[in-house]
Amino acid sequence: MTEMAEIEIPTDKVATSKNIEYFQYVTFLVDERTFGLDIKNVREIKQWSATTSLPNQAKFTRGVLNLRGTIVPVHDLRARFGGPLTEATDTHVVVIVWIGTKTVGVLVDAVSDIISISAEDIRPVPQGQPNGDGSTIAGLVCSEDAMVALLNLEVLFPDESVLLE
Amino acid sequence: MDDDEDYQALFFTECRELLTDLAEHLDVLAAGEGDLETVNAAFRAVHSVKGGAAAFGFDTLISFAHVFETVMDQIRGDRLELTDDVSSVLLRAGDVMEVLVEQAQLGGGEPPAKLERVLADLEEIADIVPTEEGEDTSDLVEAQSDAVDVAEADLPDETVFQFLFAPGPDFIAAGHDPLRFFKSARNHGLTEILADPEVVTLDDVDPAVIPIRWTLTFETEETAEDLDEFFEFYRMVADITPIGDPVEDPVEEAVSDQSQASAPDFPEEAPQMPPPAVKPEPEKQEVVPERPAPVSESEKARAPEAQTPAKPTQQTKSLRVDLNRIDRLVNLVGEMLITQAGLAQRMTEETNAQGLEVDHSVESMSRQLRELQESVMAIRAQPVKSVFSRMPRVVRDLADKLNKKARLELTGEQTEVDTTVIEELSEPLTHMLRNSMDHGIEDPETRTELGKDPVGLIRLSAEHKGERVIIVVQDDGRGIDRDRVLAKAIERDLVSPDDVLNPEEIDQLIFHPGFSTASEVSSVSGRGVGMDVVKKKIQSLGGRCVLVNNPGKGSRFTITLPLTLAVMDGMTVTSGGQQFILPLSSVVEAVRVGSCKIRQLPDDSSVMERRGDYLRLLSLRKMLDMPKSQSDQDMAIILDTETDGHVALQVDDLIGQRQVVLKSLEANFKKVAGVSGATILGDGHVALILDVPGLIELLDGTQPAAEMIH
Amino acid sequence: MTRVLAVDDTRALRLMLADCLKKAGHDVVVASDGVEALDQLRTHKPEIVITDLNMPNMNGLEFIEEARKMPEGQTVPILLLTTETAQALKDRAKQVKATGWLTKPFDPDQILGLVDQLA
Repeated sequence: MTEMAEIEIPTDKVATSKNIEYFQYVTFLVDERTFGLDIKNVREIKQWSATTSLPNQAKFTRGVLNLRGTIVPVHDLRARFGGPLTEATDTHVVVIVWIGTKTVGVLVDAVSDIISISAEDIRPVPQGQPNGDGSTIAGLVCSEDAMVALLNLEVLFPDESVLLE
Repeated sequence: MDDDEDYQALFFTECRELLTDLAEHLDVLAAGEGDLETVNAAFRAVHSVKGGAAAFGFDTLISFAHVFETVMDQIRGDRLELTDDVSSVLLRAGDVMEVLVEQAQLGGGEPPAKLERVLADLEEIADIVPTEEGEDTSDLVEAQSDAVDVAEADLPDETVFQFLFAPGPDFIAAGHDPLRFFKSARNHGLTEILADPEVVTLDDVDPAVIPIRWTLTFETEETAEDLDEFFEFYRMVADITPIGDPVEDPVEEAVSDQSQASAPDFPEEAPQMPPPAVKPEPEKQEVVPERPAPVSESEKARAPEAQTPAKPTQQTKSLRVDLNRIDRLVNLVGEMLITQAGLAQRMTEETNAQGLEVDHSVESMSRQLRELQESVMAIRAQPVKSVFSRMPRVVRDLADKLNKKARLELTGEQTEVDTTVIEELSEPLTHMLRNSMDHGIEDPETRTELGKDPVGLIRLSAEHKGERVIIVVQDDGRGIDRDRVLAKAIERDLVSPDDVLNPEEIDQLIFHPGFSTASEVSSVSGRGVGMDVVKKKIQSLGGRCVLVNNPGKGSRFTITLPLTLAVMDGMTVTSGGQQFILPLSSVVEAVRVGSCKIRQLPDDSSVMERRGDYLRLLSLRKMLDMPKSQSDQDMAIILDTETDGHVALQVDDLIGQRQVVLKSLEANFKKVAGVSGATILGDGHVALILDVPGLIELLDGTQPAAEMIH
Repeated sequence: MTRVLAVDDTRALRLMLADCLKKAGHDVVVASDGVEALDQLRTHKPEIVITDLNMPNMNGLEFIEEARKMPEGQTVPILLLTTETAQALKDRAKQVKATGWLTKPFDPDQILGLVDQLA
């Protein structure tokens, strides 16, 4: 949450030469597109292994896996953005992230890099973006070779245990 | 401030434990079964609450606890007889104190109506006894208190004070040091120290005892009271008297309550005086040589202490351990079981020359691990008493409010249940008792007219049944008025007036979330919480709630709960290539589908004949929408649904029984309908634990599958 | 910095006392009853002890009496901190060679002052 707030610092803010705060983002690939997550939210990165599916699970949910004794759901990012389910193999990875107090796995094609960016580097998402309401992307960053879409995890995978009540 | 609130939160947590203990002790006392230790324990509970209240300045609570404590003190001092009347006042006092603690925690609120009444009762009890302010003044030391009085009364209100300071023989033994004393005194305006010329002869010198007296002169702005406060800490071991007043020879006076600090192992400290006869010296002498093992020393020494004003010690040794630590242990043991299962599995796959021997070891390890797990779980187990004991108060309070009469009969309080379950029990039980008191038990007049005992009876019982605990709340009230319930359900649009419901279906309506609303409920049931909350809570604990209504005669709620939320015995089955766990407690038997007669019903469902009965035959694969696998759905597991009788669940194969460690899906995900949790298999994969009644609800569409965003 | 042993069976009060002392820069060890306190006394050799009176297993008075028999406890200042006011108990405290008697609720300044004064 707080990280998100930091990202949303207006881009017209004048950058001072000193004290620019850099944030580290883990970037990863899905269908050649690059996505980024604040490194503070990334708990670990795991090689894909078979999950246990749940009855009536959402289209993009791949089931649950065992992360050293705790049960963690795994969501398929490609499917979450409307694509088909990933044909997961040993080369695919699951990014284990914190969303609020919960630990969740996100299935992606591959992890690519860790980049350092300042709040000023983050551009707002243009309106009318394909793939849903746009709020799933917290901002865009141009890195050397690609456009990185920073994910808004709370919107992508909301905490449904709260919603159900 | 924040810190302070943390301490307060801690204190309130402790208070709840203390109050539970207190209620329990008071119940025992009221039943006439208590002994001195029970009284002491009750006293200590009240005292601790008071201590905390004093630390945080909860005035109402302090003053009430003080009076309460006084009465308890009189009882333990045998100055007050524990009659039925006294017991009843004590019980009510316990209730009031609980309310006061709650209010202190919530930061205010109207003092409970019965506060004054109970307070008056307590005071009355306390005053009947011919003791002043409940304080034990019998063996007051005259000389010392005189000295204090004199100091206070005669000190002139000037800036120069003079005192004669005579350290007693215990001055050093009590941890004081004359130099430190003078240093501190300097901060209070000490200007002159004059040693008294009168010194004991060399022969009498004891290095552990200060043989000198000093005249101290203070020139200070402090008042006599300020100085007195400063001296207060030294008065215990030194005579400090204002100059000019005749005082007894302090050395002699002090000798009379000399106790023996110096021990034989310290020759240079050999006691100057023979030990006085009043003290239980022999035991102590005996103990001294044992110094290297002070725990046993302390234990031995405690026995002779029993007659002192201090309380006798408790017999049961217990240790308070942070639940998190135990949880860690439970988890670790769980992990070990999983690893072990994996190991065992690999052993069976790879048979080699030494296989048999290793197998044997793996097997004993498995047994030991299971034992370890049981022991760990036993640490977490608690008698339901800790919850049950709060319930009499609920009933008493409600009886007061509703002008009804009822007594609560508790049985099976010693039934042990995992502490996580215990914690969750209080709320649903309270609701059920409220429900009984509010809607079940009639007022005394009506009851008399009906030929019932004017005092209603509510039974609350607990017992173990296999791996579950059964809790029953039964009352002898009017039962559930089906006409009224139906009328209300129609009014609330829960059912249509055209619906034909059988009596049991009508009874079930009281569990409907929309049934009880704020507009209707009395102050007792309050806040619009109804029986739906009870049902939801019990279900969330993996339990079931069954109602038997006997109109005119009463109702009975039966709650079935797992003993623990941490481990369970399960039966592993496969379906669609995935393993699932069925709670063993609901498995009746397993049969081959091929050996049974199956019938297709017109609505495409199937039934299976079993010993003349027809059971619904459900395909797990279809229910969970699992992919087809090569194997046939050849096994049928007959399950007890607890609510809908037996059903047959068709699965691909049966793997066997095993104990599983329950893992939550909700911790990182959400509640999944039809699944009560998950566990980790020997190979590290996750297997889902099926919730049989939940599955059936899912199938019947009473509970739409929770679906998601998009 | 003084090494202080704080003994109280009420967790909240024990922590409060300990934190008050810690904030003042003292080194604090705690115990929840007399038996534990004896252990702590032996292992940590505190320079001053502040103990509650009413405690399970072994109360404050019993603790002091035992402590005074141990080399580590023979001359260490031991303060009783309690809501009790009965003279008989105070006398008993004197008998077992308690260093001082403080009444709850405790005043942090007073406690800290006494720690400096006595230890």
